[in-house]
Amino acid sequence: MPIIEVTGVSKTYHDAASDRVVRTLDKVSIAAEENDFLILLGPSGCGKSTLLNIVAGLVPSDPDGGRVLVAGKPVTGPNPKLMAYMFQDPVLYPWRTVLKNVEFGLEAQDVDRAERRQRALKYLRLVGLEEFADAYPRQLSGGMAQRVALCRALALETEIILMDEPFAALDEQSRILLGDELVSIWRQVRRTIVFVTHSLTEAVYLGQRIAVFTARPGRIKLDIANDLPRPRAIGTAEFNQMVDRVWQQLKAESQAAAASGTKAARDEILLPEE
Amino acid sequence: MSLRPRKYVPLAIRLVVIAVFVLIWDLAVRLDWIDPLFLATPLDTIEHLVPVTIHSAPDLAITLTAFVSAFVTGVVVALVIGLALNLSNYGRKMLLPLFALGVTIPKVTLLPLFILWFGIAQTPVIVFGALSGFFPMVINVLTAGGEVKPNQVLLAKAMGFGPLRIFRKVTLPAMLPVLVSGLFYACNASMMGVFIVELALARHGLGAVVHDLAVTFQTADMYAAVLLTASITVAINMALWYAARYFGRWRG
Amino acid sequence: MGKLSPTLARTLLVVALLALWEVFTRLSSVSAILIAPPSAIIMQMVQILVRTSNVPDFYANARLTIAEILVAYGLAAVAGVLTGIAVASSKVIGDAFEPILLVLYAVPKIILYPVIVLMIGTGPATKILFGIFVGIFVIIFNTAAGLRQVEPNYLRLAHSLGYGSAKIFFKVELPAAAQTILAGLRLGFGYTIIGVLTGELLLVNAGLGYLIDWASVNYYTAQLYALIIITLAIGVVANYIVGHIERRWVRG
Repeated sequence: MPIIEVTGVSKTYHDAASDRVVRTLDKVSIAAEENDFLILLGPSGCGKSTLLNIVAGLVPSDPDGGRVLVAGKPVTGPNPKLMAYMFQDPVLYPWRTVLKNVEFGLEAQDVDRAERRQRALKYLRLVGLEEFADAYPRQLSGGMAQRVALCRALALETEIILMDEPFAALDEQSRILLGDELVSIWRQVRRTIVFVTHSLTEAVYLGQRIAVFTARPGRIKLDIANDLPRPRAIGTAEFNQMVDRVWQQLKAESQAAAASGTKAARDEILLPEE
Repeated sequence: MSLRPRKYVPLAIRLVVIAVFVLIWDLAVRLDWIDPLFLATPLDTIEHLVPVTIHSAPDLAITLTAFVSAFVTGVVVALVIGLALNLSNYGRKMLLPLFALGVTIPKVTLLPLFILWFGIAQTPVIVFGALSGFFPMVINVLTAGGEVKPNQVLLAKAMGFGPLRIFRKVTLPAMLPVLVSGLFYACNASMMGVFIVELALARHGLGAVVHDLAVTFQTADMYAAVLLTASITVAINMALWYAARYFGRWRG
Repeated sequence: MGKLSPTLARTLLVVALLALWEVFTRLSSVSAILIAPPSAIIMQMVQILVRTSNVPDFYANARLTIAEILVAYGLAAVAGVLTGIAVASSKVIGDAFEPILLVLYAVPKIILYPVIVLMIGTGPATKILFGIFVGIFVIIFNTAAGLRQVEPNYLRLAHSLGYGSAKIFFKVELPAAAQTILAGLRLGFGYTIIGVLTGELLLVNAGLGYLIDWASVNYYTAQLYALIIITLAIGVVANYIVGHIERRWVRG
């Protein structure tokens, strides 16, 4: 039985600026098995982030018969015991130290102080930030801050980790390094990861399965297994082949998105930027 | 031990400046630049400090009581109104300019009205002090509301925190530095308000003491009373100033 | 769904409050000495402005007050900016004087008022000096802060292009710091007005403060309200003009 099961989910909302009803997701169905590394790939504004937010329970889907089951139960709201969530920007609380930020999610579950600390330190060690435990977020670089956010998600030790373009704001080098770390952690601890991105290279580099979205309203056009052996290397022949295969599908969609003139990243209205 | 000129030179300059100031002050009286009827020497002032403090202890108590009542009232009302308005972006946009106007208009012109409405007992002192503190505080509460980023709240929701804990763990800490610096401004304004009314009514409190000593030309006593008032107010204000710095230290 | 703009809602709120006030004064049994209805106040304001009111020498007194404000502000602006430049000119000087300025800033200026009266009397100079005292600190702090925040690369670039330090100051540092300095000058203006009017209300021997006191002691309630509103309006309009100038300069 899949651990995440999305069946016929749609999302429409009222756009106040244009005073129109916008449909971002149209009867989307997708499933993730346990230990999957599922990539949701698509052009800006295709609703992939919206889908992630619906799975996370942060946003309700349209009440038209669509279903979202996680671990066999319908999603009614955030469930941090089952799912950790990671944003595009790190969202560290600037008044908390790095350690306290990693502990934050555990405080919600009333994990006792010693256990919190121990678990937070374990994951900080895993990403090599142990010595920054007492630093404040302002002292960190962008890549370091996003690693702390990753630790915070991992420390919840949930079955599922949902990631909304978590490395999009980083430079190319940090992006690859963090991706490597994420994959190695994923292989060590075996979690289910759903990872939203608009970067083709990132999708092929990280994903075990890649679902390609159509332009708005979002539908899933292609769902392919990516069985390139790990560790993967960008630029090898088989890597490029896989990129090409996905790109053929994506190209048409990106052009359609550009032609229809949808404002980029409209779906992110649901997740206001700072 | 190595000498640290960067650290000690400013201190030395500061001490020299203060010394020169005290010296000029002293010479101004001794050499009759200013009539001793209007200015007491620094030494005289210091000598009178203790007797004046003892003598005006009841007035000191009255002033401090009035100040604390005014400050607390102003701040609490500002917190209630400000936090309520922070819930709605619209309400905030609508009322912020009115409150900003409340800070900049010279409220002192309303003083005769306050005396008209509230008489010349302690009520106008407290009401005027509270009003003076209210406006800077409410502005800071509204500004502090803008310090809380939507993503920070969303994250806490995703982590499973309820509304009360989100307020305690996210909203409040994010607002705290601006709130505490609001306390600093409100405190200063409240003190001004209380002291203005005390000076104007001249019945009770330190303001009245200073006023009476001034009009009866008990010059050394008056300077001592001013020094006493200044010391107390500076101590309170500086404590709040450092508190604001302490709570804002994560901002770097 | 057509929503009211916040500005319109704010205006409606003010109008509604005025209407409520009017109705309240007409219907309630509160003494006419305590409150006057807005209609009577507006009538009175018109009469004062066309000199048919019994308020004595309105224009002469208003001119005096405005002159005091302008002189005080001119002096506070020049002295404040120069002091700010001096404080920012070197780290040693800044470290030496900043704590002194901070303590002076933390003193509620009003307690120095009796000292000023005692030393220089009850004429306009006292009000001007007090206005300077209240207004100058924010100008000093903003000037110093603005100059310190100038991007060091700006200076390096100008230096590498062969500019001397005087030219760098006028062509790079001052323009780069202008926004913060102008904000200080705007705030300082508001504070100076508050200072001058505080002096007027406490001295009550000339100017608008005198007229307000005159109306108050004679229980000319409508005149009292009208004069207060005129005085506040002068403050608001003056603040608006300075704010407008600031915005234009910053944009240009």
